[in-house]
Amino acid sequence: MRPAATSLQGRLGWRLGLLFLVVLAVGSIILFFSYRSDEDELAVERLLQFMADVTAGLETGADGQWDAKLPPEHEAFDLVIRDASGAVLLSSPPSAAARLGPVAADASGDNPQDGTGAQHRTMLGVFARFETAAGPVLVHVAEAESANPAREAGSIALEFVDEVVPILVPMVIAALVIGIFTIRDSLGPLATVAREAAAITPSESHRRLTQEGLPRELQPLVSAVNGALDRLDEGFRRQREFTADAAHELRTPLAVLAANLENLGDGGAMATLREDVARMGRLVGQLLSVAQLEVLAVAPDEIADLHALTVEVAESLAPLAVQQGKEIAVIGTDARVLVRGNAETLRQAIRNLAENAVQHTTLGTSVEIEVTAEPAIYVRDHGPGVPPALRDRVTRRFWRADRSKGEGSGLGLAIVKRIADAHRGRLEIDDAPGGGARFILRLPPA
Amino acid sequence: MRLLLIEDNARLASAVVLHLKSAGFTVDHIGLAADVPVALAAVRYDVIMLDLGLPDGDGMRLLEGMRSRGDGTPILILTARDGLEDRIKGLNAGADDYVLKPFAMGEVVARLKALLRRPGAALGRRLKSGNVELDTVNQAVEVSGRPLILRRRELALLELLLRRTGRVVGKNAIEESLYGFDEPATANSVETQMSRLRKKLEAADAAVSIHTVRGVGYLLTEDKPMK
Repeated sequence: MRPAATSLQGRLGWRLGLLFLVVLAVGSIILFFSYRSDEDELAVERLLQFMADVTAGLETGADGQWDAKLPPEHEAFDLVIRDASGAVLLSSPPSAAARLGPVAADASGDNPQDGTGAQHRTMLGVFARFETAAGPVLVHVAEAESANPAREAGSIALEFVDEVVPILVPMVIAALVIGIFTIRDSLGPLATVAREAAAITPSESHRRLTQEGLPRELQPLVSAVNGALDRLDEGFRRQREFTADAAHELRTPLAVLAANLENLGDGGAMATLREDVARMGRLVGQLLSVAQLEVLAVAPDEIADLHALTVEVAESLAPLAVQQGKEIAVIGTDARVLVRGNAETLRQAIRNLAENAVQHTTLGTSVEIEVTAEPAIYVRDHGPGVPPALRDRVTRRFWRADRSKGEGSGLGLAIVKRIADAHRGRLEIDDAPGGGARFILRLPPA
Repeated sequence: MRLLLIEDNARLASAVVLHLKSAGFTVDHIGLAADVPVALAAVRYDVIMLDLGLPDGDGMRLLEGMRSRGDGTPILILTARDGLEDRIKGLNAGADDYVLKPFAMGEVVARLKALLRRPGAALGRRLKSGNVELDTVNQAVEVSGRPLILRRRELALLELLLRRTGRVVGKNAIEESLYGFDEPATANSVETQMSRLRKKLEAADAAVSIHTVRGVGYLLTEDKPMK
């Protein structure tokens, strides 16, 4: 197995390159050996051819001038001509007479014969007897010492490489280019699939990967992934439904509990108990909100008026604030501030911010909500503020500044953040000028 | 005041009935939607509390049926679903207000009283908060039984606030009901009227307070009795 990170392109290049080298090597080796096995026959043929050339010269120059008519290729051969008594008439090169000893005068034919050179090298040679005007001569021809059959075969292989490389290299390059282009072309749609896959989140679990345009080889994979997503989506849906159902089912028993507590009269721990039940009721409502908001998708044509929503929220919270010795006010513009968004969830976001501010503002102070044309909503209180180190944390689910106090559900601000995200808006937290916390909900304009 | 409670959960119903009785209501309880028409034919109720999640019949259908027969009895719905749909549907079908379970009984009583203080409803003629009493027919105000003289607009203002005791009355609603098209409200005329009304109530030792909710409206609350 190649490492998983290797790309298809890399693998294709690697393998085609290997194929190229193998073809080159195998071709050269085959050529080398086939030339080498034919070498003996070829050599004999060459010797006979040379012999014929030499003897043709003998016939024409039958006047004892032996050295005058050597064919041009004589350097590749040892040539010794002796007379009937064995005396050397010609030796080319001069050292050849020593290597090619005298042969019996009655010997004839073209049988290869071992030379007796000091190098103990196997040599091919032929000799022949000719009748000339000066009497019979023995012509002895052998491969020159310098001729190396192996080198010759090697040079033929090299020649093959020289000839084949100019054809093979462009072909391999062309194959590579076509291969890489095919890979890129076929896998191009995968980039789209990757983008689609990146967009799948628990709240966007209904999304699927497109199979259109993908090579057939990849379709089973993508359709299997889509199948897996279907099953996950179903699981998510059941989980959400369970949370929503559980929250609904808890409401009625809580209502019974609350109503019975109120009938028990005041005194003792009664006030605390009632507060606890009210808090539980809020928690249940927020759990339900969280479950519902998971699938919140803002329709592109939904328009909401932030100012009207803020006034509504302030209207409904004012009695509670007054009862707690606090105030709530809507400041800034009186004009409509339209945003692209879902009125119901935006109301909930504003309400959670306002409730949070009323809870934290000091007794006798006021919570001010300002709606601006940015569009944004600034909710400021006159409480202790949120330390910078905690600002990221307060919007996490079930996070509370002080668990021992048992105030709030820890879901309110997480819900606001989720609503802001679903609207492509932002929730910011900073210090209000003059002290207290300031929560800013920014939304895209209509 | 006679109240009909339509609620299938017996435990919740008995707790609510107990509390409403102590708050001065005469309460009939029905657990099945099928029994409602009989009760409505026999008794004229001042206000009805209706659970939208009845098991044997849709509370919504009951509501629509009553309104289509021209029955204008104020209806407060109880719901366990706070989804936008249920609420809007209920209000569109003719409900006057809604409360979400679990509810505080004090809140329910306040809302019932607000419904009853509407013009034409059981408490709509004589509006009472704390020691302040306003007779809407004779346009007369009494604080602890002593008459309080108010100008026309101050009286109208007090009536609006008393009808919604404990709840905010919006600026716009006040401007619309106090001023006609021919005499548009100036920027601070409502504020001027309100501060005069406050002073007069204070001078008369009225046990109610008018709170300004800046940018929103005004809120009249009953002062808690001193202990």
